[in-house]
Amino acid sequence: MSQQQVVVDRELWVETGSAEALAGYALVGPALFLILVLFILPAGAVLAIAATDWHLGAKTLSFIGTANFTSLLADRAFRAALFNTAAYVLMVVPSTLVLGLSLALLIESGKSLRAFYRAIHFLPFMTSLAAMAIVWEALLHPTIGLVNQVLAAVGLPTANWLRSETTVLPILAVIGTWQSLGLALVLFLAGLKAIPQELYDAAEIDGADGLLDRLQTVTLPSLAPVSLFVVIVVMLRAFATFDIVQILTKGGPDDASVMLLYALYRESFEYLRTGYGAAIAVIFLVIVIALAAIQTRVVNTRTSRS
Amino acid sequence: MVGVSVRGISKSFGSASILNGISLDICDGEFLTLLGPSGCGKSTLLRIIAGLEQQDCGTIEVAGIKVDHLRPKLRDVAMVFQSYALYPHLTVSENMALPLRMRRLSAWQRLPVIGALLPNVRSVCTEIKTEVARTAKALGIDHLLSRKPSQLSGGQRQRVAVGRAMVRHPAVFLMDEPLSNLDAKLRVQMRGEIKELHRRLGVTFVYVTHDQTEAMTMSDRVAVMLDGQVAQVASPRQIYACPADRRVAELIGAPKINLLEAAPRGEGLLAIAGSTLAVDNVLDFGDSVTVGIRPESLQFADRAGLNTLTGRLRYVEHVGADLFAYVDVPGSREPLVARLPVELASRLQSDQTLHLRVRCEQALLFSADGRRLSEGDGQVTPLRSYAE
Amino acid sequence: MSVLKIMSQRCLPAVIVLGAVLIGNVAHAQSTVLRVSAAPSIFSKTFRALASAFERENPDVRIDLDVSQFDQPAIMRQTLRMAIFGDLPDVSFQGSNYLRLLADRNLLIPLDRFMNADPAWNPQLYSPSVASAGRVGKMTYGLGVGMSFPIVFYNKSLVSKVQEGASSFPGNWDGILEVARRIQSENNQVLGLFSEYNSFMFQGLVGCFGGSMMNADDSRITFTDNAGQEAMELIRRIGLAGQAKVDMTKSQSRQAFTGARIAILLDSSSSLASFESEVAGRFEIGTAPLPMTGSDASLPTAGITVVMHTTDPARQGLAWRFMKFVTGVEGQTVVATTTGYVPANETAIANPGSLADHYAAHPNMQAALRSTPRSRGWYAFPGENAGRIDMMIEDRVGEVMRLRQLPAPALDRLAKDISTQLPK
Repeated sequence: MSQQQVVVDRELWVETGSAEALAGYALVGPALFLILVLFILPAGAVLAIAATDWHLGAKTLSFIGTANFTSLLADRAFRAALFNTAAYVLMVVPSTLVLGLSLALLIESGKSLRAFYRAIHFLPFMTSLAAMAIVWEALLHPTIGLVNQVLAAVGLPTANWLRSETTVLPILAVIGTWQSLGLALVLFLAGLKAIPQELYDAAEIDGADGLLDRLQTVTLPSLAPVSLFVVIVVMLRAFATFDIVQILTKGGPDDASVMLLYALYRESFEYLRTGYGAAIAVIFLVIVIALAAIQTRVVNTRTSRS
Repeated sequence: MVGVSVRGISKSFGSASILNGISLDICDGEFLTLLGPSGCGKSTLLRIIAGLEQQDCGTIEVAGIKVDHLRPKLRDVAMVFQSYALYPHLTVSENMALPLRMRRLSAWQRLPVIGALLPNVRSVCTEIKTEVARTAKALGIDHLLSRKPSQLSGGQRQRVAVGRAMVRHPAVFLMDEPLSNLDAKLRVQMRGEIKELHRRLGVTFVYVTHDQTEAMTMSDRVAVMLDGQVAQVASPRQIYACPADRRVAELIGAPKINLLEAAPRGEGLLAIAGSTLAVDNVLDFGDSVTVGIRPESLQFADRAGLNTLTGRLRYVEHVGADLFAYVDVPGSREPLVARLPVELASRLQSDQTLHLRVRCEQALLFSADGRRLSEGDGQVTPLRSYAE
Repeated sequence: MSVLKIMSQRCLPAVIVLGAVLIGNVAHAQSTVLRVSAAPSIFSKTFRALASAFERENPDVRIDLDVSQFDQPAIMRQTLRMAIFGDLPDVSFQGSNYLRLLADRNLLIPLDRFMNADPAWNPQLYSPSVASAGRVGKMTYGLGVGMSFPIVFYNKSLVSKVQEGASSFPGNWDGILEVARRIQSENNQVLGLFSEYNSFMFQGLVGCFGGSMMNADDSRITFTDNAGQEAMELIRRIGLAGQAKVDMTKSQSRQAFTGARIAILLDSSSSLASFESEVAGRFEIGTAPLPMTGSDASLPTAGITVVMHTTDPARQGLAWRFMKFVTGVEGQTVVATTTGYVPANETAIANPGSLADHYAAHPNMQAALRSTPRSRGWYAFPGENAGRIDMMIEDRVGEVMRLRQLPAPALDRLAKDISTQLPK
């Protein structure tokens, strides 16, 4: 009996290599399965739906090829979404960068309470934007909101911030900057700590001891990799803005504040034109991948050079 | 003429006192090394001279001018740092040009695009470029001018750091352990180059190191710093031969000097490690004396006797031209190190009994509080207080 | 032998548990389960009360209630999703404006059959408004449960100050605008009149002037006719009166009203309860129905309708019993006393009883109650793009409200835009 068993065992595991490979697949299996089911398959489904005219809940659909994409490009609301999103990103990223760096420099040069300031400024990043948006809505109320009351008391002109086509996008950019500021601040603070004191000493001896000179000679060049990272993170977050539009403006007035993700949501779940919305999702994905690829290239060339 | 004059400098960081009333006169054009273990305050002193730290009290004079309230860039000093502190985003030529640009161009003129359009900027920049090229050639790095620091080797970076200091034609060169990041072979080479540089420029060099070989080989004088005070300032030979203090003696010399406790037996005799030493000097020994014997002062002896120490050979180090024997003697926890001629290698085995004759005229005697007992000649800066 | 012992040791607990479950099921086999989904979730207590009351009267039925969805759009989307999986509940409470959408996707069972076959369904017990709230085209797909209308809320203290003793609120638009103008000139911090301008309100205003969005068989756009022109002109006058400068979101306008910064507010009648609790006695709130002109005038009805999904005849009978209960006197009393909705069943109000007492104690509900006879369903445009059309209406009407566009060209453009979204 035992002899036969031994023979059988040997035949089963002819090469131990295959046993190891099997173990490897078994360990990776669950994660691979989850990635497939939760990410790759849905993404593929979106790509497929984008080529159909499916409405949410409809029992039938038909393939219409690229018709969704051509009508998107002709759609005024979608072009507005593209333009608004680009404008929003172009407003949020530089201001977050500059404000975050300035605040980091200020906090770093202070002697005490650094941890306190760090925490205070990081709080907006940690809060739920949905809850904060409601607070902002109250602040920006045209008549009883705090912002307009303060402006009126000081004698500055007030405006109907959320309901005027000219101010709604900049105001959303302010809220977006306010939220991303904490992240930029914390990253810059870490970057500042990593600058060796010797560089500042050398700069001082060389004559670059004024604030601007130090910034130009030591601080800013040393923060270049951190800045790049901050730009990438803030840009991608800004691109994917949804909550403040959904809660504060619903894309209005008259599509002046509709952004890509909000347009996607509106088409898919309010207008129930899911095929059309999936086409927007595809375009969004393509843009984000392109941005990420460009930034990866830039990061790689920088790191390979240094 | 005094190049740098340090008077009564004290500095504390919080409750820790780093420098305690340091006074030092550095002659114009000399190469002075500040030598000491880590934490003794030598780097702090250097930074105070440079102007990067502000002293709590005391004054500094450079070339006869009081510089205490001057910013570093106005003190006419240049500094080479331990990690070179090259600006990583600038090329070699830009690194070296920076001090000159800061000095000769105003902020407006230094702006990237607009500055180039202002009058005179072109000519100044060309001037700077020529000077940088000249200095680079002198240092042998002119072929590296367009590289960034990350693309250079350690030795090349060192030279760039030196070049950046050189372009300023300073009155004093300050160097903060510039060779400690290099490998041994490069270190030897750079030692020679720095010494050559000093000879060529003829400018005062203040050099900080913890490596006594560098101090001994490069300096005109060495200031040994221990616990925030200057223990001794003297030429390398004198520091070696006539250390003012037991700790100075321990610091200088490799292998370390052998220190043994001895009890006076009257009439110039000392009982030491199971034998007796006859010392020429008739001094007031007090109750106990520490005898310092350099390894080269010990010779191989056939048998025990006066002035001979006996012990068990622990092991032998063969370093090519020398032989170092480590011998356990009674009364000492540390083994004695003796430098013996290489021919004896075949006659030595571990655990054998070894006799070593002491050349007493070369022995150094230290009192209980660490001072060297001598007739009083030699440049010695006495310690005001001695903390064990 | 040992194998059997092991088996019995492991399997015995399982067998016991299985047996208990089976016995338990057998005991319950007497009662059938009716699956009901309901929204909005803020009224979950109301729905639970309805379910328990029904269960008390019908011990053979158990209600499995799901009140997880936040609002009507959410439950509509949930219904669509469940339909894909074939997992629809038996009965659900939907927003009246989504009936067409759900009916077009064949997710609703027409109720005319049940109404005609059931002798208990008579106008003495169930007023016509119950069925008309759920009518889509020629068929009835749902029964009205609770309705809300756009009505006028006003700040009694501010209004009475400029009314000089006249205690009643003006009954026509000119009068209302005049009162608003007077209040604004006396209090420069206060906006006289605010109206939102979404698709629902636009329908309401067009309906006030006797018009409609499209004609009876949905072949022609009719809001460009006289009624629509008048409605748009009214919007422009409201904008001119002050809203153009201080346009705000719906929630902001509610905050402003309860903060006494808006004197007259056009809003849904279901907001009354929250207004009263927000104001907490700082000023008195008055209500009035929207001024309507002509006998054709109508009002769109927001609110909830109860619909049937199940195709199994036995369960259909149960579902119909539940739906009748909810729209009957007892159910309507529960709805009216625990929510801000007006009961769809007028007979529930007419009969003396707790409901009549309730309304006697809440005179502000009269405005909504008086609107009931004029109620018509919330119109949904045909085709798949109803949501988009609603947005277009809001954009164009908003332009007129903010004085960026004149009424006539805005209407023309709106008609043009909408016609591209209608089925060909």
